[in-house]
Amino acid sequence: MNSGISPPIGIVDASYALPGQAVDIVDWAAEQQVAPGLLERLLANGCRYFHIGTDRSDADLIGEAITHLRGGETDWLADVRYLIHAHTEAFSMPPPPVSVLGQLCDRFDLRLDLSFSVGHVACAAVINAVDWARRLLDRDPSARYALVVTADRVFGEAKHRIRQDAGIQSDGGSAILVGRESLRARIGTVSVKNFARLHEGPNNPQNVAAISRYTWLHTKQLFQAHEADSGIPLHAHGAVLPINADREYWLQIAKAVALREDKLFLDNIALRGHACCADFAVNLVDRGFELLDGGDPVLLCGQSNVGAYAAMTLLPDRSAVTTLATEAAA
Amino acid sequence: MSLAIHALAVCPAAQSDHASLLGTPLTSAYHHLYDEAGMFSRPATVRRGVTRMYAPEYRAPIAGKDVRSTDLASHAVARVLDALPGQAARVSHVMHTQCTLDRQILGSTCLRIQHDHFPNAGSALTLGQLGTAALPTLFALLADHLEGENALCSVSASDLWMAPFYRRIPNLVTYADVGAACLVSAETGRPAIARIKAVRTAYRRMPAEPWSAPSAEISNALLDAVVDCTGALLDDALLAQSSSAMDRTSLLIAGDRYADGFAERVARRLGLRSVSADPDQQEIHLSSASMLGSLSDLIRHVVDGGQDRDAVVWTASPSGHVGAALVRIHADAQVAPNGWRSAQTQGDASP
Repeated sequence: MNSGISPPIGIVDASYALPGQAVDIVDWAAEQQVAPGLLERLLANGCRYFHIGTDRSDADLIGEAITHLRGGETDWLADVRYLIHAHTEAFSMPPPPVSVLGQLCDRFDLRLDLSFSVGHVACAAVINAVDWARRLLDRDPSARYALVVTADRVFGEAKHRIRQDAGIQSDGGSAILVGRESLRARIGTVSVKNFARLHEGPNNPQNVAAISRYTWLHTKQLFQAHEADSGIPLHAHGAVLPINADREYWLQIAKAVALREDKLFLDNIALRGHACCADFAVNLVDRGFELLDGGDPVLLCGQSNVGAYAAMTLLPDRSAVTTLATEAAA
Repeated sequence: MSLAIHALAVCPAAQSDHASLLGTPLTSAYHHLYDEAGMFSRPATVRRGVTRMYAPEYRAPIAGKDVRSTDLASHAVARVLDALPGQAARVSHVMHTQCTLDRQILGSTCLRIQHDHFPNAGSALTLGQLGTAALPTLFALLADHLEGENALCSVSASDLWMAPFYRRIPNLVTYADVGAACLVSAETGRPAIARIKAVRTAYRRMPAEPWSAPSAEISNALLDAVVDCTGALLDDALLAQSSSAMDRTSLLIAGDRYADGFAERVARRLGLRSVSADPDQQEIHLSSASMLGSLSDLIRHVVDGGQDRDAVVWTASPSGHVGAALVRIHADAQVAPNGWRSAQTQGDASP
């Protein structure tokens, strides 16, 4: 468990790329011959729109997200010293030994001090990656930016896009620029916890049962520990931004930790689908930044079906007030 | 930077004959790569339905069809813990690297290692996307992670090559199925088999598909990248130390086992003395575990010589990622199953 308020290192900007037009699950389920009962349960669990991008590579998805950062400007890329990639889907990578990091270096002519990918902790990987970005910048005052990128693509059709009956998987990429100036959020407490017993993932009915029995308990424990470490009561956050699936599960957790349901941001389960590690940036851009701009902290969390969990508090950037005042005076 | 390595194990799969350029056919994961989305995750030169591409028969460490890459990693970690019993409870971090897929695509190797061996570990990560050359980056991160901590970290690397990925690129590389592991700390006062004093990593643009490009083109580009990276590591190290602290002419060097005497060419270009692997295995690349294999070769050489030595160990991948480490090798390292352990009484509670 890592904890403590960091020096003023935070998120400069974030963006995402969900490919193509949103697909309506109702139309898609008919094409894919999804059982009507299953479709009904998906709809009842809040699923509706999602994104398919099977014609794009991981580098394409990340590349698109990068070009959305900072209003489309690209000068800042010359100041990126660290590139950290995170992914959930094991297949979301070029054939080994080829590397998506190398593909991105070539595409954007990056000059890096260090790059790596965080894997095998599923949707908790993105928070681990942002935390590594923070640590690396913290140790290297000469470095201006660390860039966190994610890409996840689903292989196979309905069977692999539908998560039991409570989630629909999107293909998607994201980019999160971490720095120490012009911050849209400061990085606060980070909690990472693994319950390694679930390391095999949902590969057989016994493990699926174990995951469904334990994950809500593990997430509840993570939230309670995170609340204690950060000193910020869960209800004092503008919102908790979970992954974009499993509505009932999040409602159960909210009940278990005495969090009002309306503090959970669940809109994107219907609007975006679950794009694995990209959900962090999707929810930050769609909801988190607005709350942070209004002065509220937000809590992002990544849970997984391999027993890895992570939570990160983002704090409003106090210096933003000063910056705005300075700009107004100028 | 100072990272102490207290024990090391390198565990290649058993030798086996193989007559395909591609890895072992394992159908459980294979079909995913032939979905539409798979076109970006498999070599474009391997058509749907193809699980073998003829190659004259060769011998290499190749795992049986019932073995997983996570098995190779967990087994190697177990050997390290056999070498230094009583240490598992002190391990607080698990770091693993692999560049290949595990055939059970939903599972997690780093969490498997945590589960199998280290109930007290607080973090577990798998590093990837650096070709087979992730270990220098892993060590650089670890130095940061462990600084000021009285903690041990389990470091492991494993790969198992399955079709449709290429096991062999003729005249360049033949990848083995290997697991390797070591126990590392940032402690300076404890016995160690080797101490990493500096690490440098670099990236150089390479042909997009190594199996399609002329092997000489990749080989020459890799050679330049390794020489530049290692040269810069040594220049920095010499600047950081008094000239008497490190005599470049006495430095040893070892690195990846690419074809056509690649490691010897690196050593010649740098003017350093190469330490070779077992002659029968000189052109079998140990995949992501390669750096630990080279380190094991260096330790054997230094133990035979009876005197502590400084050495450079490098690794490089056709992904374009290269890295090198300056390492003090201790001559009092003791032989352990599949590797080495620090000089101490077996069962000593502190490494």
